[in-house]
Amino acid sequence: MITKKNVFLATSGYLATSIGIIVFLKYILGCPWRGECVDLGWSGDLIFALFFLPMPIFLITFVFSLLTYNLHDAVFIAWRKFALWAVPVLMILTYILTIPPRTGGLGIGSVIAASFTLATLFLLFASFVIISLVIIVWKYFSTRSK
Amino acid sequence: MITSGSRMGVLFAAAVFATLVFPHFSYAAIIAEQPVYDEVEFKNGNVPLIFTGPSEFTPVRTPITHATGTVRSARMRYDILSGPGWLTGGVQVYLKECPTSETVGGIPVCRYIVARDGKYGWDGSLLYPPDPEAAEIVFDFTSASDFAGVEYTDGVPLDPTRSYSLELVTLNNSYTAVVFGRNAAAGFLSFYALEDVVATPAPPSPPLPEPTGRSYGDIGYDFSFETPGNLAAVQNLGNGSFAEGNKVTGMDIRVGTHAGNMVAASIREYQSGVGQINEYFGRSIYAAEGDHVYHYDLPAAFTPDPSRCYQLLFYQTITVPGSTYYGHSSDVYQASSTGCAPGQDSDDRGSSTQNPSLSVPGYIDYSFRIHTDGPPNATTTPPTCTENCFSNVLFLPGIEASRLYRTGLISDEQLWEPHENDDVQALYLNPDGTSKYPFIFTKDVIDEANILPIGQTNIYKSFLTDLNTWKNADHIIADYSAVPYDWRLSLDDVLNYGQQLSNGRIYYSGDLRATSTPFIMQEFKRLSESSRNNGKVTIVAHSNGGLVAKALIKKLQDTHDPLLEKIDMLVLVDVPQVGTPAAIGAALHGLGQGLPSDWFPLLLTPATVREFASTSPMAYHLLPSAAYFSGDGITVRTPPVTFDDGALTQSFITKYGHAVGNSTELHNFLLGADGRSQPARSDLKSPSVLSSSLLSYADGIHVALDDDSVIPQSITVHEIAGWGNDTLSSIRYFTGILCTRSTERGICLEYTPVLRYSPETVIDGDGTVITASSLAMSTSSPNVHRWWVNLRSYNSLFGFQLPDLLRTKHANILEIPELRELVKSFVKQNPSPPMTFMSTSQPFTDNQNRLIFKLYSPLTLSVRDSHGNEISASTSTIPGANFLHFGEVQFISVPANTHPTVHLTGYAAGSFTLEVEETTGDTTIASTTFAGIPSATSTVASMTFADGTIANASPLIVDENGDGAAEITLQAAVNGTVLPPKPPLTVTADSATTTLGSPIPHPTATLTGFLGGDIVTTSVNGFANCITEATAGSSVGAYPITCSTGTLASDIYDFSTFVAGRLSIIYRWDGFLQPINDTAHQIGQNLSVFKAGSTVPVKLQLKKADRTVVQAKILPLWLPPQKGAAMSASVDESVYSDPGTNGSTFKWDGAQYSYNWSTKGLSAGYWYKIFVKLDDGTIQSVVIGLK
Repeated sequence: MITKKNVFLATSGYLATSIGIIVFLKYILGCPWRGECVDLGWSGDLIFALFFLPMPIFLITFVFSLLTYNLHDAVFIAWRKFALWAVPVLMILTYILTIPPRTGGLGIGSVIAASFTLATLFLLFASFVIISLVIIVWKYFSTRSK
Repeated sequence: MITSGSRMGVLFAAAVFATLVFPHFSYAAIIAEQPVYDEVEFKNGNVPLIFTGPSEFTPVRTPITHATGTVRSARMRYDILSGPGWLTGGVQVYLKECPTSETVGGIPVCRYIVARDGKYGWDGSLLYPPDPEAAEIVFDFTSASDFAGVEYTDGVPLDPTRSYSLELVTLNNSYTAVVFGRNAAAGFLSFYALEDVVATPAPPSPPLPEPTGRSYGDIGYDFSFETPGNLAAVQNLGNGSFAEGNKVTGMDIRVGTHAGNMVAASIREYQSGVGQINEYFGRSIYAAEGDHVYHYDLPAAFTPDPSRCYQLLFYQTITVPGSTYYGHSSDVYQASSTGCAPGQDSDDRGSSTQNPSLSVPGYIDYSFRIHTDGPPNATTTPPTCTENCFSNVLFLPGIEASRLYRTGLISDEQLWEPHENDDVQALYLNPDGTSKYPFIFTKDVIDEANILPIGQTNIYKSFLTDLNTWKNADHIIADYSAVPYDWRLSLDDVLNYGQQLSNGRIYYSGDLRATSTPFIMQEFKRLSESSRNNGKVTIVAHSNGGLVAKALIKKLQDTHDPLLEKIDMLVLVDVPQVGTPAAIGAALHGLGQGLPSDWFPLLLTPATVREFASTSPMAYHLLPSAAYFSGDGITVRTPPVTFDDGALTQSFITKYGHAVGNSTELHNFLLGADGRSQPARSDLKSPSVLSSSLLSYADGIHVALDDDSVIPQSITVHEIAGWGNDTLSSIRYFTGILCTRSTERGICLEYTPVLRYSPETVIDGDGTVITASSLAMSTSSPNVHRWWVNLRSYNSLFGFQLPDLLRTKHANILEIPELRELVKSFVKQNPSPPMTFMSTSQPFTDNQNRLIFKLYSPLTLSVRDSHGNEISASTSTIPGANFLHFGEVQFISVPANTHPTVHLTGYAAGSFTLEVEETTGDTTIASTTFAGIPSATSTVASMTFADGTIANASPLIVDENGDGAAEITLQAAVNGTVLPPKPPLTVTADSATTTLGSPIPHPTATLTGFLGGDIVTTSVNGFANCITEATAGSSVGAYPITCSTGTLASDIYDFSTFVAGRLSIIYRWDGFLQPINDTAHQIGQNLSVFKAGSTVPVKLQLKKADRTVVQAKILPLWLPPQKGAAMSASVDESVYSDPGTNGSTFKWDGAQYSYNWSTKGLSAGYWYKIFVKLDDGTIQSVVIGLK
C-alpha cells in the first residue's frame, strides 16, 4: 500500500541504507572518498547501481513525501498519481543514460556525450520537481478552498 | 549550408564594400626592353566577379628602375569588357612615376601621366565605351600630361632615380568603379609594352648605415615587434625608463613590399586630454622589391616625455590619379602608461589580400626597431633571474580540442563542437587532406564543451585556469600560451601554417594560411623571449598535441634552428605516440564518434564522422604505426584486429590470419587488400577502405617521430599515461546472423550471415589511448621519465567504480587536480612531485612480484586470477596485467598476488613451450620452462600458482586430447627445464652366431616401438652400446649380449627398455663322416641305404673355423632317430656287424667321434633321420635309409 507513511519509510530507509554504506566504507573500512578500497568485483557495481545511481530520485521523492506528510491526503494522492509513473520512468532513464559504456572514440566526444547526458538528466529531474511542486501547490489550494 | 543564392549575396556585398573602401584596383606589367605582352588568361568559368588585384593571378608587377630614354608608346591587349553591366566606365592606362617631390603628410607620393592622343576620349587614355571585342590598343605617349598639368610633347623622359610602371584602372559609369571582370566566356587580359625605353641594371644598394646608440625592438620577420618584450620597449617611450631619457634618433622598419611603393614611419606623440601634439617623421623611402630593412633617421631627435603617450606608425603608400592618395598605415603601438590606451597591434595583416599592391605575398607584416642615442645595446642584456626562474609554458591541446569556425553573416559560425551533421560536413577535407572549405579558422582552445547551455563538462578549463594562475597569481612563469590549431590537418600543415589576423582568427588552411611565421612557431618564440629561464620553454602537450610537439622538435632539428635549444621540457599527457586502436574503430566504423552516442546520434552521426575521417590526416596519423608493433618502449600490445572463424571472415583470415599482427598486415587491412569494397555510407558494420596516400603520409610521419632520437637528450621528457579505463584495444570481426524472413509473431524463419564486429577493450588505457602508446619512448633513454595516472582509482567513489558517464577520461584527464599538480611540479622543477593517483610504474605492481608467462605454440594463452578476472588477447580485467603478442609468441604478465592460473587452449596440432618467470621489479628470482609438450587442437592445459610462486605451483596438467583426463602431468622444475615424458623405444640386442675360433662379431641392437610412422633414421641419432663376454678364445656355447643407451638420442623417444641378445659359438660342421653320405655337405652323393638289422657306424668330427679337429668338453649326444617315409631304394652301403654302442653318447677315438647304431628290430624300407646333439647347443642330423 503506497501511503504517505510507507513512501516516507521506504525513501528514508533507502537513503539511510545508502548513507550507511558510505559510513561503513568511509569510517569502518577507511575507504577514501575518491580511490579504490575493497575490491567487490561485480557486486560492487551492483551496490553502486542500486544505492547510489538512483539516490537523487529517492532524495527528491523523500523530500516530497516529507513535504506532503502533514498535508491533506488528497494532496499526497494527487502527487502520488504523478510520481507512480514518473519515478520509475526517471529510474529507467537514469540507468539507460548512465550505465552503457561508450567504447572507442577519439577526441572529446565522450565529454560532449557526458555533457549531453547530464543536461538531459538535469532537465528530467528539474521537470519532475517542478511538476511535483505544481501538483502539490495546486492540490493544496484546491483542497483548502473546499 | 552555402547556397548559390547566398554566395551571390555575399559577392554582391563584397563588391559594394570594395567599391566603398578601395577606390582603385590596378594591374600592371612592365616589359622594359622589348614589347612583350604579359597575359593573364581567364579560363572559362574561372572568372572572378570581383578582380581584387594581381596577386590573385600572376604577380607580374615589375617597375622599371634605373632606366633612361623616353616613353613614347604603350600597348595593351584585352578581351575583358563584355561583361554585362559591370564595365560601362571603361579602362584607363597610366604611366606611373615614383617617387616625386610631392608629399602628402610628409610622404612623397607618385604621379600619373596619361597619353593624349584623343583617340579614345578626352584624356587620350580612356577607353570608353569599352570595345566588346578583343583588341590591341597602342597608347601614344608622345603627347601626354599628368594631373598636375605638366605637358609632354615628345614622350615622357625617364629619370633613372625613379621608377616607372604602367597601371590599368577599370571604371564603371560612376567613374569610381572597382569591378573588373566578366561573368562568362574565356578571354585574356594582357598588357603593356613600354617602347623606346632602355633599362640599366640597378646598382647595388648601398649598405644601410648602422644606427648608433641603443636599439629597441629586435627586427625579425616574425612579428617579433609584437612580442611583449619589444612592445614594452615602445610603450616605455613615455614612462621614463626608456633609454634613461635618451633621445630617440631614428627607427628601422622591416617590410616586404613591391618596388615602387613608398614606405615611411613616424612616431606620434599624444598628450592626455589634448590628443596628438607631434609626429616625428622618418624620411620616406622608395621601396625595393621584396623583404628589406629600411632605416630612418628622424630629422630631429626628441626626448620622450614620461607624461605623454607615443604611437608608432608605419606607412606604405600608393597613389591614384587626381588629387587623392591612398596611404596604408598600421602597426599602432600605443603606450600603456600615463593613462593612454593600452598598447595594441592594429596592423592589417590581411593587407596582402585586401590590397595586394602593397605587400609581397608571403611577407605580410612588418616590424620596427627604434634607436636612441643612449648607451650601446649591450646594456639591454636582461638582468639575471633570481626568483621563479622557470620556463614559460606552451600548451598544445589534442584533437577536437580547438574550436573551429567559419565566417557567418553576423558572427563567426562555430563548426566544432558541432550542433549538427552539417557542421562537420563543412569541415570535410579533400582527398589530399586539405580543407575543402578554405576559410576554416580557429580562435580558442576548448575550455568546456559548450553545445548545450547547461551541463557543460570541463575539458581544459581547470588547466587553462591553472596556467593563468601560475602566471598572474603565483608568478611561477612569466607567460604561457595555449595554442589552438586546426586539428583536422596534417602535422606539417599545422606547423607550417597558422596565420593569426588582428581579429584573432587563426587560419591553418586556405588562402589566408600563408605566413612566414606560423602561429605555433610564433608563440614559441614569443614565449622564449619572455622566459625567465634563459629563454627556455616547457611544452605541455595533450593527445594529438604531443605529436605536434614531436613534429615541431623534428622540424627544429631538421632546420638546425637554434630554438631547439630553448625547449626545456616536454610533458606528454596521454599522447598516442605510436597510434591507438581507437583510431581504427573511428576510421573504419565511426565507432564511438556519434553524439551524444552512437545509438542516439542526435547531433552527429557516426557515418558523418567516418566520412569526415576518411580524408582527415588526423585520423591517419593516430592509427597504430609500425612502432606500435615493434617499438622500443612498448610494454603492452594486443593485435588491433582479430578475426573469428566464419563464412564472412574467411577472406580476412586467408589474407591476414586470425590476427593482424604487424604494421604491414594492418596497412593492407585498412586499404582493403582482402578485396572488400567501400561499404555504403550507412553500412557502419562493414569496415571502410582508407586512403592509400594519407596512410602513406601517416607512415612517413611516424617513421620520423617514432624514432626516439627525435628528442635530444637535452630535453627532459615526461610521458604521462592514463591507466585504468576500459580502452579499445582490438576490433574482433565475426560472422553474425541477420534474420531475413520472419513470421508476424517475430519468429525468424531464415537467417543470413552478416559481417559484424565487436570492440574489445583492455584496462591498460585512458579510454582512448592504450597505455603502451602513451609510454612508447624507449625506457633506456635517461631523459625520459614515465608516469602512470591511476584512473581506475581516481574514478572510484568510496571504492565503487563510477559509471562510464562520470569517469574522467582521455579528453578531460587534465581536469584531475593531482595531475595538474604533477605538471606544475615539473614546471617548478620540484624534485618531489605529489604522487596521489600517480606512480612511476604500472599501478598495482609496486613492490609486488609478478609472474610472466611466455608461450611459444599453437595454443592460446590466458590467465585467470582467484576472483575469476581474466587477461588474454581479447580480455583484460586483471588489474595490472598485460598481454602481448609477438608473432607466434604470446606474453602475459600478472601480479603474483593475484594467485593466477594459466590456461592454454590448442587451436592447431604441434607442441608448445611455456616459460614462466617469477620477478621482482626487473629481477628474475625463479623460472621454469616446460618444453616440447605435444598438443593438438583439442588440447587444454592449466597450472595454478596458489601462492604466486613457481616453487609451490601445481603441476602442469595437460589434457592432450581434450577428453577430460590428463595425459601428461609435469611438476615445475625451479630454474630448470621440464620435458615431456617421451614414448619408450625397446633396444634389443641382435643375437648372433659365430664359429669356434672365428673373431667375435660386433654386437648390434634393434630399436622397436616407433609411433606414427616414425623410423629410426629420422627420429633417432647415434647407436646403442652393446657388449658380450665372449672372445675369440672362448669355447663353444651361448654368451649374452647386453646393450645400453650409448650415443642414442632422440627428441621424441626415450630409451629405457633394453632386451639382451645372445652370441652363440658353435663348431664348424662339415657333415657326418663316411660311411654315411651327408648329402647336405657332400656333393654328388646319394642318401646312404644300409641293410636293416645291421649296424650303422655314425662318425663325426668337431672342428674350429680353420678345420682343426677339436674334442668337445661334453661328448656328443645320440638322440633317438625319427622314422620317415617309406622308401624302395636298394642297399648301397656295406653291411656292418659291429656291436651297437651302449648308451647315448658318442665315443672319442682320438680323431673322431663314433656311435654304432644297431638297427635291429627297426622296420626296413623306410628313411630314418638320425641326430646328434653337440655341446655347442646345436643338433646336427642326416637321413639314411634301411632296407
